[in-house]
Amino acid sequence: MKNILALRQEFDAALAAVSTGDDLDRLSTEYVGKKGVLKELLGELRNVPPETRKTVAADLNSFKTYLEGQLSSVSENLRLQETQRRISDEWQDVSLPGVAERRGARHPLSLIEDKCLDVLNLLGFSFVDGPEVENGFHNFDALNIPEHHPARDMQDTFWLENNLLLRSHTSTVQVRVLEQQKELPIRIASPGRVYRNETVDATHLACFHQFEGLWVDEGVKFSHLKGTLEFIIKNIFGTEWDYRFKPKFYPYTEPSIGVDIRQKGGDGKWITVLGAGMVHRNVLSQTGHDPERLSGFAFGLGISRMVTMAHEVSNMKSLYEGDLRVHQAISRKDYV
Amino acid sequence: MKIIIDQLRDYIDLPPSAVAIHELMEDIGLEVKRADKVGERTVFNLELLANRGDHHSYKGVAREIHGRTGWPLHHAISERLPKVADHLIADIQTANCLNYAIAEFKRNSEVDHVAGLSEGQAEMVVLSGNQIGVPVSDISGFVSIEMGQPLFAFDADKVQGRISVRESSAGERAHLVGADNDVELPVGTIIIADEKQILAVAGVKNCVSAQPTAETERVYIESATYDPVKVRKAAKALNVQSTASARFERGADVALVDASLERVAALLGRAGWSNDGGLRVAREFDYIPVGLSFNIRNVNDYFETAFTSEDISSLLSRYGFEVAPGHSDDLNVTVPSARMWDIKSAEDLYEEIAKGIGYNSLPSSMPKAAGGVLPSSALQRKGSVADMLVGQGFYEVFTDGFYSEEHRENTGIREGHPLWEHVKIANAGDRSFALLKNNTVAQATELVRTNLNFRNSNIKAFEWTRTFHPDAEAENGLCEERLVLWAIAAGESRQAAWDEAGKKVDVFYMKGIVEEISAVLGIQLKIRQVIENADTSPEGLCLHPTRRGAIYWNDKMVGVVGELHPEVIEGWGLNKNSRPCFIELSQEILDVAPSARKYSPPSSLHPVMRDVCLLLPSGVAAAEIADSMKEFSPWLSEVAVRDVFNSEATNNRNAVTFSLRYSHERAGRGNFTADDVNIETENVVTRVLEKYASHSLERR
Repeated sequence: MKNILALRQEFDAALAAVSTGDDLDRLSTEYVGKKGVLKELLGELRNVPPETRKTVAADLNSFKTYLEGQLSSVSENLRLQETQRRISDEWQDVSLPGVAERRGARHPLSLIEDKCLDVLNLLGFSFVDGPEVENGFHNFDALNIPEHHPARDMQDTFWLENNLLLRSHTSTVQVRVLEQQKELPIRIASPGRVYRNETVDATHLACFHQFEGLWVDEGVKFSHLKGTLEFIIKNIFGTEWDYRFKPKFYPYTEPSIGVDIRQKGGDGKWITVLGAGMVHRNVLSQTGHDPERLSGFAFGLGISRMVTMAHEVSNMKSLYEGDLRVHQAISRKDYV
Repeated sequence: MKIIIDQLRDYIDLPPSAVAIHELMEDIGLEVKRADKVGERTVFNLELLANRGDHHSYKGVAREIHGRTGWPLHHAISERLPKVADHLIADIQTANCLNYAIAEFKRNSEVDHVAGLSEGQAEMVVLSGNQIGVPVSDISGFVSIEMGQPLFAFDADKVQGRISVRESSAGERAHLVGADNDVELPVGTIIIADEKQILAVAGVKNCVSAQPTAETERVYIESATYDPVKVRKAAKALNVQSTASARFERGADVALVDASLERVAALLGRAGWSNDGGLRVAREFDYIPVGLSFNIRNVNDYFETAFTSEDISSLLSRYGFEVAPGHSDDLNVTVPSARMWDIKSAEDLYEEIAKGIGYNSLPSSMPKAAGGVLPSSALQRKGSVADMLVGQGFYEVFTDGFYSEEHRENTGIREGHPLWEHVKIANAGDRSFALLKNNTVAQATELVRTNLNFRNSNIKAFEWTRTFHPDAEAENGLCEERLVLWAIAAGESRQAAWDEAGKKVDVFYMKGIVEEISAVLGIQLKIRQVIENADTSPEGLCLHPTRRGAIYWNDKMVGVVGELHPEVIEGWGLNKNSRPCFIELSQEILDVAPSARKYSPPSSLHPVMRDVCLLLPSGVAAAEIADSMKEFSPWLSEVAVRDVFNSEATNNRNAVTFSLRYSHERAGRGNFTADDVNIETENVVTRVLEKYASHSLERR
C-alpha cells in the first residue's frame, strides 16, 4: 500500500495548483472518484495483515475525510471567486435614468373635487349632476335672483336660443333636486362646469368649475351650518389651518356666510375658500317646499382657490389649455 | 369703496389700532380688500355686500360698526330748511322717480369764496374718484359720500325753463361730464332736463350743459331717489359706473333726500352761500314702515342660544330698528327706511342678529345624519377607468364647453356634415365662444397642436366631458347633452429611453386602451372595423376611413376609435407624419351592468401549441379567422395573433401567424399525442381555407 502521508503531500501540491472548477473536478476524480486513489487504497485493505488492518483503516478514513474537506473548501472558494468576478463584470451605472413607463395624472381640479366628495360622503352627501344648458327659472328665478340682479345681465351670462342659457353656477342642480326630491333629508354634492361671459385672463375664465353642496331637512339650523362647515374645513384642509366665518351676501341664502382660512398661528392673509348660507325661504317655496316646515343650508367650495393653494398655480387659465407640460409639472413637482 | 379711517373717526368713536378696526370690519361684513397708507392716513379699500346700498357712505359704515359695538356715533351739523311743496320748480313725469327735491343756493357777494371742506373732507371726495375745484360741486359730492345720498348740482342760471324728470324718447342724446362726446340714450332712461337740454342722466351722472363752475352765482342742488332697476339699466347701457349709480342701483334711503340737502345747506352756508326758498319738494315718497315679527324662542332654537327679548331688542336697536314686545315671546320690529330694500323677512333679521353677535361667536353643532354613503357605482367605475388611463400615462385635462367656428372648419366639418349644426351662443363677445361643442375631436386635436408647438411630442390626454347636439325634440327644446369620455394619444406610446427605441402610437395601442377600459368595467366592448361612413357615428367621420373602428356594447354603438383623418391633421396644421389616435366613448358604459363572465381555472397540464401562418388579403380581418378556428375545433382554448408581416414577398398581403393553444380539458382527454394535435390543426386550417375560398386565403 502506498504511503498515505506521501499521497497527502502530492494531493496538497495538486490542490494548490487548482485555479478553475474544471481543475478541481479532475483532481476530485483522481482522488475520490470511482477509480480514484482512495478507492484503490480501500481495495488494498484486504491485503493488510489483520493485526494492523484496523490502524490502516483508521488512517484511510482520516485521509478520506481530509480529501473531502479540502476539496469542498476549495470548491466554495472557487464559487465565491466566480460570483465576485460576475458581480464585477456586471457593473451598471445606476445613475442612468429609470425606464419604467411613467404614470399620467388626474387633473388637479378633479383630485380636489374627489377629496371634497370623499369628505361629504362621510356626512351622507351623494353626487348629483345636472344639465349645463339651463333656463332662466333654474339659473335665476328659483334662486331668488330677481330680474334686476346684475348676474342676469347679458354681459355675465351666455345666452342661447329659446331663452336658454349656459348655467352660470352649479346652484341650478340644487333647484332641480329640490323640485324633484320630496323625500328627506336632501343631501347632495354637485361639482361641475359653469360659464360666465367674461373677458378671459389669468384669474377669470369663461368656463370653470364650481362645487355645490345642499342639505335640507326638518329642523336644520344655523348652528348646523356652522358645524358642518367646520367639519368640511377640518377634513379637507387639515388641522393646520385657522378659520373664520364672516357675513356675505348671496341672493339664494339668508343668512349668508363666508369662510376664510389661513395657516394656523400665522398672521398671513386670510383666504376665502367657501361661501354658504341658510337656503332662502323663497328658494324653498319656489321649488315646492314649505319654508315653515323645512330648512337647510347650501355651500359652494372654492375649488379653484384650493388648487391654487395646493399647487401654487396662480394662472387658472393654464389648467384649461391642454398644455400637458403644466400637468406634468404639477404631478411631478421638483424637490426643493 | 375707499375709506379714510381718520375721517371715519368723525362719525364714530374708533379704537386707535387700524389693525383692530380692520379685523372688526371683516367680522361684520365690510371686507377689507386692501389696507394702504396714504401719507399719514390709513385707507381701506372695502368690498361691500352687494345688497347693502346703505353701506356706501361714511355714515353707513359707522352705523354698521355701531350695530356691533355700540361705540358712540357722532352727528354732523345741518341747517334746518323750511320744506315747501313746489311742483313748479320740477315736473315729475315718471313714476320711476320716487321722490324729488331741490334746494337753491345763492352766492353771497360780500363773502370771499372759500371751499367749505376741510382738507380731510376734500380727500374723501378725491378718494371716491371725483375731482374737486368747484366748491358747490365739491360740497354736494362730499355729502353724497358722507351720507350716502347722491346729489346733483346745476348752475341755475344755465337751466332754461322748468326742470322735468322724465324718461327719454328715441334719438335723445346727452353729453355726460367726463365723456368726449354726446351719446344716444336708450329709450326710457330717466333724465333730468330743462326745456332745451338734458341736465343729467338720473342717478348716473351730470351733463356738461348746466355744470356749475367757479363763477357760478346761483345753484340748484337736487336730491332724489329712483327705481334701482332703471338706474342700473341706464348705467350699464352707458357703461358708466359712478358713485351715484353704485348707490342708487342698490336702493337709496328715501329719508336722506331732505336730510342731505339740509347738510349741504350747513356746509354751503359756511362757504358763503345762502338758501333761497327752502327745501322745494316736487315729489315726496310716502314711506310706510315695514313691520316684521318673530319669536324669541325660534331665534334661540335657530342659533342654539339663550338670548332674552331684551338682548335682541337692544341689538336690533343699535342697527336702527324699532323693536317692541309683541304677543307671548314675539318681538315686533319696524324696519328703518335705510333698510327697506333688503329687510323683507324674519330671516333677514336673523342675519342682523348673527352679525350683531358675530358669526364666530355663535354656537356650532352637527345635524343629525344617518351616516355616510359610498360613492355611486358609476362614480367608482369612472374613477377606475381614470386610474387605468393614468396608469397608462394619460393626463386628465379640461376643455371649454364651447369653441370657435375655426375649430369646426379645422376639423373638416363642412356644411352637409352630420356635425355641421351647432347650438350657437347668442351673445358671445369673444368669437372663441361661438359654438357649443358637438364633438370632442376638435379640442383633442387642438391639444395635440398646442403640445407639438411646445415640442412636447409624446401626448396622452383624456377628458370626461359633455357635448351638445341640436335637437328641437329634446326636453329643453334646443339640444341634447351627451356625457362622453375622450382620449387622444400621439408620438410614442412607450417612450424612447437610453436603452431602447420608443414605440409609436397607433390604432392598435388605442384599441388596447379600449380593451383595458372593457376589462376595468367588466363589460364586453367589441371593436368592429368600419369602412363605410354610414356604419360609424358622426365622430367617426373625423377618423381615418381605413384605420378606425366602432366600439360596441351589446350590439349598440357606444363609441369610436381610430387614427385622425388625414384632412383633420391637415386642417389643424399638424405634421403629416403625426398620426394622433383618438377614442370617444359614451359615458353610458359607466351605468351598464357588468357582462356575464366565468372563471376558467388554469390547467394543471401543459398546453399544446401549434403555429399556423396564413396569407390574408386586404379586407379579411385576423380576428374573424381566429374566431373561425375556434369554431372549427372545440379543443382550442385560445387563438392568438403572434406575428403580422406584410411585404412584396407576401404580395402585400398580411402574413398572419396564429398561435393555437389546445386544451386537454376542452378536449375531454388526459393527454394528446403529437399526431392528434397535428391532425386537428390540419383539419382546422383546411376548414378555414374552405370557408374563405372566395377570398383567396392561402397557407404560407
